[in-house]
Amino acid sequence: MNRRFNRGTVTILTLSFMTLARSAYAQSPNLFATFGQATPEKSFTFTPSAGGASFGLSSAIPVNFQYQTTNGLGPVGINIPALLTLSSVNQGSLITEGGFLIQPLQNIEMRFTSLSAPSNAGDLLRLSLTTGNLITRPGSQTASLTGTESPTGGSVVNFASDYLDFSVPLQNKNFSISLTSVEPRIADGGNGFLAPFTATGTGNFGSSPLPPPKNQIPEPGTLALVALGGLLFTRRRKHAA
Amino acid sequence: MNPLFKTTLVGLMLIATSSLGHAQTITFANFTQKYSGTPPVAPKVFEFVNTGNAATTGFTTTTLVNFTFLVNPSNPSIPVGTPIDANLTITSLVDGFSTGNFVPSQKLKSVQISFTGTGALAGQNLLTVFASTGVLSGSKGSATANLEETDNGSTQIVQYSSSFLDFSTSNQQNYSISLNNIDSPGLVHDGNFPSGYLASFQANASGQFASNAAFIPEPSTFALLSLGALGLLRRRRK
Repeated sequence: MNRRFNRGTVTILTLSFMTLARSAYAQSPNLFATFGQATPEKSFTFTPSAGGASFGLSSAIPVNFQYQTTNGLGPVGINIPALLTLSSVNQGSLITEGGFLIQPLQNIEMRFTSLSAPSNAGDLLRLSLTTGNLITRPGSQTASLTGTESPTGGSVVNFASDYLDFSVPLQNKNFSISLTSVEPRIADGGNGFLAPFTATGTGNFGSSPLPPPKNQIPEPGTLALVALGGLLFTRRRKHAA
Repeated sequence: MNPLFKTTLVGLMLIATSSLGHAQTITFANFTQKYSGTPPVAPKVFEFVNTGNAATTGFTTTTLVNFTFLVNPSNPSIPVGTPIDANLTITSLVDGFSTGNFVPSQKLKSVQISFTGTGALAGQNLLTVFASTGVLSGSKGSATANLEETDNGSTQIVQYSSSFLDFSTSNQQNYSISLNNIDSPGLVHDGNFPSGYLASFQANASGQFASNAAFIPEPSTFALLSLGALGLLRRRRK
């Protein structure tokens, strides 16, 4: 077989593959979606009860949701009115460490559904985590709910969406929600859980790489490179023939 | 009691009560980060910079964000509950060394957060925060962290100012900024125990701000008051 043909073909195919690979596989996690409450209601609620505790929203609340990456719904960064639901339960008891109160949570489920045209019922984002942490300080009126997928085990984070493709391999999946206007102020409930409180929330979601949009069209630069490789491959075959 | 008179009285009481400041804090504004460039990526510009020197170590950012008023601003052309573009800058210094094992934390001081308007609101002060202290913390090794502070009930640590909101009646304030997408190894100490700081990192962020200030009453309150006053006037004329 012609060695020049082989080396050239391999080079072209390798360059094409590397371009496609680089466009899909960055190592550093980045932001793909954000949300903020659209009203000041203290809808996030921590509720201890006999033998357990829950943290979430008693009913869906209106939020402003934005994709911060190319998506299958519309332009990046536009404000999408949405409804948010959230539920979780405690995983074990309250932990006290270094002046902080940490309430481990499990079975964290979040869902953002679009309220705006053209899709009034699309799932913008669904999130489920096996474990996360509610971190705060005694006497504070703020807290944070966070979760990170650990490569060594621990929390498992799953994302799903009607407009982003989470079927591709993703790493470093994470989210973080800040809570303010905590009322009453944070306290150890004395029963193994935080004392009950309500709060307002806003948050971010990320992964590496950024999830591609569903029904993605490759970038023009990538398409051009692959087409060039194909043309050169065809010319070489004709010369060889 | 005449129902219309009662309505007016209730409205007046609400106005009077609100002028004294709310008992509870209300989250009056939030922000989320914006993407930039092609392909669109939200830059990780929220940075903790560890130089090893307390004078030059701290939390900082300069970036464009979505800023949302959740209460009525004094300028009726500014939407409530819908994001507007804003330029955000944050600066701070460290206050002591980092501590904690399961929850690494870093006390900050002189935290300054500034949102200025763009377009028709260019250069105007949407919100400025000055907090004498702040706490940057999170789960060890996590890709997430939180920057926050709360007034302790007796000393005002967090102070707000704005061209569009009146904070003169407030005495309870708090803020919280959530950070995520911190690169490996995540939120950790720099290893220089006991005199080190958090290791440098870059992140994305969103956040919220709360106060018990007496903000402009909700439109429904004004409607209640107006209805009561109109009804009273009609009855007196009859």
